[in-house]
Amino acid sequence: MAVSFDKEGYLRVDASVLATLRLLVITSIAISLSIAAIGSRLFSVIRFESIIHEFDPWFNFRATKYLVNHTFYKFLNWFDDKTWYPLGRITGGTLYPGLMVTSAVISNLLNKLSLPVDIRNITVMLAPAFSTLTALSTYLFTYEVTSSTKTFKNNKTPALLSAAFIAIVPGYISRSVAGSYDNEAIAITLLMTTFYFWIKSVKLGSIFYASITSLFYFYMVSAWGGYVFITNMIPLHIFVLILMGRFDYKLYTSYCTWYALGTLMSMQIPFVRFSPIKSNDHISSFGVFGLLQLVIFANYFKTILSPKLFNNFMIAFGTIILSLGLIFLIFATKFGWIAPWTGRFYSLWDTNYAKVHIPIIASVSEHQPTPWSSFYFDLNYLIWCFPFGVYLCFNDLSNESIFVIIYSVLGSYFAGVMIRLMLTLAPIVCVCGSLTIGKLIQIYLDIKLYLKEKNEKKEDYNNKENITNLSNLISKLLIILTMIFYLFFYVQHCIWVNSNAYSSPSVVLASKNRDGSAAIIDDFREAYYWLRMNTEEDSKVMAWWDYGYQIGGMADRTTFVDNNTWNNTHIATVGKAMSVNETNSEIVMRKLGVDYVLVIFGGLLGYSGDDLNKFLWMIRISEGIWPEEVNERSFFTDKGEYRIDELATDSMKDSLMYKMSYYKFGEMFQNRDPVDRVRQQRLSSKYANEIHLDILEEVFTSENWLVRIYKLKEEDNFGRSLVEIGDKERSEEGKSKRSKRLQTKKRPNLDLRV
Amino acid sequence: MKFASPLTFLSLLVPSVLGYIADTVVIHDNSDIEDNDYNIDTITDIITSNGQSFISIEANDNDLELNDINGNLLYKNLVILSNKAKSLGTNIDYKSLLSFAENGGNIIITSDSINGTNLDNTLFLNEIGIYPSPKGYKYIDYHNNNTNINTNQFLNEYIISSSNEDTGMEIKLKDPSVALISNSEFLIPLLQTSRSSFSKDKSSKKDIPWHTGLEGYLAVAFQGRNNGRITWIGSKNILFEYPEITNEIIQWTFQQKSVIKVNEFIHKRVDNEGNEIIFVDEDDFYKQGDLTDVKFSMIELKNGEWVPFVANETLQLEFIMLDPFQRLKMENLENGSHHINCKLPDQFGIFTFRIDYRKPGLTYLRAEDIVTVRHLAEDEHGRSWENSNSYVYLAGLGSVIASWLIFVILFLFTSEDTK
Repeated sequence: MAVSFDKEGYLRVDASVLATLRLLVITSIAISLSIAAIGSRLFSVIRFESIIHEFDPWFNFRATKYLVNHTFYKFLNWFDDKTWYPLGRITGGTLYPGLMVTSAVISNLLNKLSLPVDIRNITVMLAPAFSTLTALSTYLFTYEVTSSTKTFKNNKTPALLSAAFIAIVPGYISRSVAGSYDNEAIAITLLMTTFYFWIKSVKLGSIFYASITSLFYFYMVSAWGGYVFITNMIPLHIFVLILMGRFDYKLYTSYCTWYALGTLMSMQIPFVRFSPIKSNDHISSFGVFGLLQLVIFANYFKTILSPKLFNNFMIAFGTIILSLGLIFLIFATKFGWIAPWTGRFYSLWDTNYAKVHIPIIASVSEHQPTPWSSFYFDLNYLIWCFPFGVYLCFNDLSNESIFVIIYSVLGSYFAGVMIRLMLTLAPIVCVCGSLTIGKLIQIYLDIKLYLKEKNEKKEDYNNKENITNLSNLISKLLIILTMIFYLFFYVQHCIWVNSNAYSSPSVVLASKNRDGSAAIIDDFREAYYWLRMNTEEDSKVMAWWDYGYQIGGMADRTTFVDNNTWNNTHIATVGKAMSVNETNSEIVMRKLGVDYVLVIFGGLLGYSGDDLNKFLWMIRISEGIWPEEVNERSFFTDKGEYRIDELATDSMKDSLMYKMSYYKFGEMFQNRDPVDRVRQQRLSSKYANEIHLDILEEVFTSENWLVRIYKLKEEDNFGRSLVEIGDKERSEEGKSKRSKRLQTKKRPNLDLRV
Repeated sequence: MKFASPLTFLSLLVPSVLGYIADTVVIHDNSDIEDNDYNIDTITDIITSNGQSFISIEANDNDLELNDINGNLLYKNLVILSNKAKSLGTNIDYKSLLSFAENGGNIIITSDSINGTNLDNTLFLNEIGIYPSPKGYKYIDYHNNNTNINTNQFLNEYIISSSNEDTGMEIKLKDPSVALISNSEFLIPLLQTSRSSFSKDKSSKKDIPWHTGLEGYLAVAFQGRNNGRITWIGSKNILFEYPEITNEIIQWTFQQKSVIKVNEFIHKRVDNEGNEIIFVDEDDFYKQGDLTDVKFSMIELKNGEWVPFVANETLQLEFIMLDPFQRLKMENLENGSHHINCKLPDQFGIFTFRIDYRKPGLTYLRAEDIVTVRHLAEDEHGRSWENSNSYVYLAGLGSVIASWLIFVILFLFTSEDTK
C-alpha cells in the first residue's frame, strides 16, 4: 500500500509516492515558470503584431529566409550583392549561423510533422521559447552549484528560485522579447548550458561531460560573438584553481578535453576560422592549456625529486618559461603573426578609448558605459542580494562556487563597461540572488525544522523558552513578510519594465492622440513599403547604416552600408555624402551609384532618434578619413552650440543632411514659423522657405515626416551642373526680358577652351 | 501658316505612329521668302530630299507648340532660320527649346552679324555654352581676305566630310556672327576664326572686341548626353548658298549620319579552353579570378541602313568597382568587332563591364553591364597539401601521431616488465 495509517493513527506514505509527488510539484513549477517566461515576453505581439523588431533582427530574419529557401551549403557561401554596394558582403562567412540554423531546423521539423508554421512566426517566437530553456539550464546550473555545498545539500529551493528569477529578469528580457530575433536570444541559453556542463565535468572529471561542454560551446560559438566570454571564463576558472593549489587530474581531463575539442569545433565556423590561435581574445585559453601541461609535468617531477631540488628546479623552469613566453609575444606581435592589441582590447579597459579613437563603435548606443540606475532597472532588488550570494559562495569554497565567484566578478566588470553586457551579468545575478533568498528561506521558513521543533516542544514545556519563541516568531515573520513583499515587488517591477521599456518593436511606434486614445506611428513601414512598390528592383538606396538592415529586410532594395559595420571607409563615404555641400555630395553619390537617399527626420513629430541627432557621428566618422573636407568644429556655432535655425553655421546649412531634413519644412506650417520639436529651435518662415535642394528631388515623405526619400536627379543633358541650374533659376526669378537681353550682350567671362 | 508640300499636309491630318506632326519644323523670318538670295526652298528641298516631312512657319505671331501636354515631342527636328524677329512664336521661349532638346529633338540655329541672334535662341545657346556676338559686332580680318574660307578648315570630319580633303571648296561667309564657347565637353567646334581676326561693334563707344584671334568660332555643333544634336551656324548664308554643306549639316544634325550604336556586347564566363560555362540560376555569379570572354561591335547608320562600323582606334575595356580594377586594350577583329579574353581580378564585389566610345561628331556610346563577382566558396580554395608551405605542418602532424603510437606501444608492452 502506498498510503496507509499506522497503528498510532499517523499517515504513512510510501517513498515512491512521495517521489512522484515531488516530481509532479517540480514539473508544475517548471510549467508555470515557462508560462511566465513566455507570457511576459508577448507584450509586443499583443500590442502591435507579430513583427520582427529593431535593426539586427531584420538581417537575421532575411538570412533565415535565405537559408530556408536555399541549401545550407549555399547559405554558408552566400555572397550578398544587395548590401554594401558595390563592395558586396561575404555574408555566409561573416555571420554566426547558429540562430538561423536553429530556426531553419525547427521550421523543417514542424513541416515534417505536418505543421507548416510561417518562418516569420518561428523567428518571432524563438526568443521566448528559448527563454524557458534558459530557466531550465539556470535551474540545473544552480542545483549543481548548491548540491555540492553543505548548506544547500539536497535543497532545490535556490535552484528553483534562480529559474524563477531568470524567467522574468528584465536584463535578459530586454534581448529576448517576442520579435527580438537576435543572436543573444539563444546565446544566453547556451551560455548557461555550457557552464552547467562545465562545472559538472570539473566535479566529476568526466571526459563525457567535458565533450558535451565543448559541444554546447560549439553551438554557442556558432550563435554569438560573445562566446569569447566562455573562452575566457573557463581558463580563468582553471587558472584560479591552480593558484589555489587545487590542481588535480579531474581539472586536467576536463579542461584538455574541452579545449581540444571546443577549439577544433569552433574553427569550423567560417567567421571564427583561425582566430582561436590568432586573436587576443583566445590567448588566455591557449595559455592555460599550456600551463596545465607544465603543471602536470612539474607534478611528475615533484614525485621523483627531493623537495629542495624540486624547489630550485621550479624556479629555473619558471624563469625560462616566463621569459620565453614574453619573447615570443613580443616577436609574434612585431612580425604580425598575432594582433592582440586591437581597439576592442583597449576599450575593455578604458571606456573612453572608443569614443576618442573608434567613433564607429562609440556611435552605437548599446556600447555606451552603463549608468548605475540601469543596474537597478534591469535587475531590481536582486542587485543587492547579489553580493550576499557571492559571500555565501566564499563561505563554502567548492570548485563550483569559485566558478560562480569568478563569473560574478567578470560579469560585473563587463556590465559596467558596456550596457549591452548587462545581458551576461543577469544570469549570475539571478543565481547569486537565489542563493541569498534560499539561505533566508532555509533559516526562517524551514517547515521541516518547524515541525521537528514542534514535536520536541510538546515533550518539555518551558515558560522561558516561550518568550524567546515568540520573539523568534515575530522576527521570522517580519523577515519572511519583507522577503515575500520583495518577491512580489520584483515580479511587479519586471512586468512593468517589460511592458513599458522593452516591448516596443521600434519599427512601429506607439503614441497617443490628443484625446488620449492610443495611436500607432507606422511611418517606417509606410516608407519601406513605398520603396518596395515604387522603385526599380535594382535601385540602390543610400541611408545611414542604422537603417541598412531594415531597408534590406522590409524594402528589399540594395543598400550601401548597414548594421554590419565591416568597412569603416565605406561608412565614412556615406557620412561624407551626407555632411558636405551639394556639389561635393553629388560627386560622391554618382561614384557610389546612388539612386535614392533615405533620411529620418523627427523634427515635426518630436522623434529624437533621427538622423540630425546622429549627424555628429556621421561627421566624426567621415572626418576620420577626410579631415580636410569634413570638420566637426565647423558644424558648431562660435559659442559651441549645435544649432539648426538661422544661426546655424554655413557648413551645417550647406550640408546635404540638413537640407534633406528641412527641405519644404516651412510649407508644412503655412506662414507660421516652423519649429523643430526635437532640437527645440524655431526657424523663421522666410528662412525655412529659402532652404533649397538642387541635386535631389523629393519623391516621398511619410505621414509624420519621419522618413523622407529623395531621388538623385539625372545629370543634366547639356552638361550644366545641377547646382548651377538651381542657382540660376532662383536668381532669374522675376527678371524681365529686358534684363535678360542686356545679359546676353555682356561678354561672358570664360576660361580658355582646352 | 504655310504648308510647303502636300506631304506635310497629309502628315498633319494623319499623325504618325510616334505622334509626330511632321519630322521637321522650319521657323523663318518674313524676309527669308521675299529675299531672292535667301530662298527658303533651297533648304526645304534638301530636307525633303533626305526623306523628311516638314512644315515651315513664320516667326513672331504663330501658335506653334514643340512639345505636347505630356512633354512628348511633336517634331523631331527644328530649323530656326529666323534671327530678326522679336520672338520665335507665342509659345516658344528658350525654356521650351531646352525641353525640346532635352527630349531628344535636334536643332539648327542660324545667326548673322547684322541682325545678331534672336533673344530666345541666344539664351538657349548660352545655356549650352555658346555665346554668339550681339547684333552689330562685325567680323574683321585685315590681314586675310576677309570672309573667304575653305571647306577643309572645318574641324570635324564626321560632320563636314570635306574637311579632311586637301583641296576643299572655297566658300564665302556673309556678315558672320562670332561665338565664344565654354569648356563644355559636349561642344564640337566646327569652324574657328582666323588668327588675325577680331569682332567689334563699331557703333558702340566701348572698344571691347567680342573675340580676338583664335578665340572665336563661326560654327559650333553640340551633342547632348541624350545624343540629341544642335548646330549653330554663325553665317546664315552658308545654308542658302552651299547645298553640299547644308546637306551635311542637316544630315548630321537630324541624326541621319555619323550615328552609331552597339550591335553586340557580350561577356561570357569561359574555362581555360575557352568553352563557355553557362550561368545556371540567379545565384550563379562570376567568381573572383574567373576567365571571361568579351565581344563588342558597333554598327553605323549609312544611307538609311545599318552597316558594321569599323573604329580605327583600339577600344578599351574597363572593369570597374568604384575605381577601374582593370583597363585592357581590346583586340580588333575583322569586320569591326572587338574581342578580349581576360581574367577577372582577385576581388569580390559588384563590378561593371564598361566600354566607352566617345568621339566628337559621333554618337556617344557607353556599353555597360553590371555583374556580381563572388568570393571563392569554402571548397574552392586549394587543399592544404597542395601548398608546399604546409609540408612543415603536415610533417609535424605526422610525427606527433607516430610518436604517440610508439609511446602507446612502448607503454603497453614495457610497463609490465618493470613491475
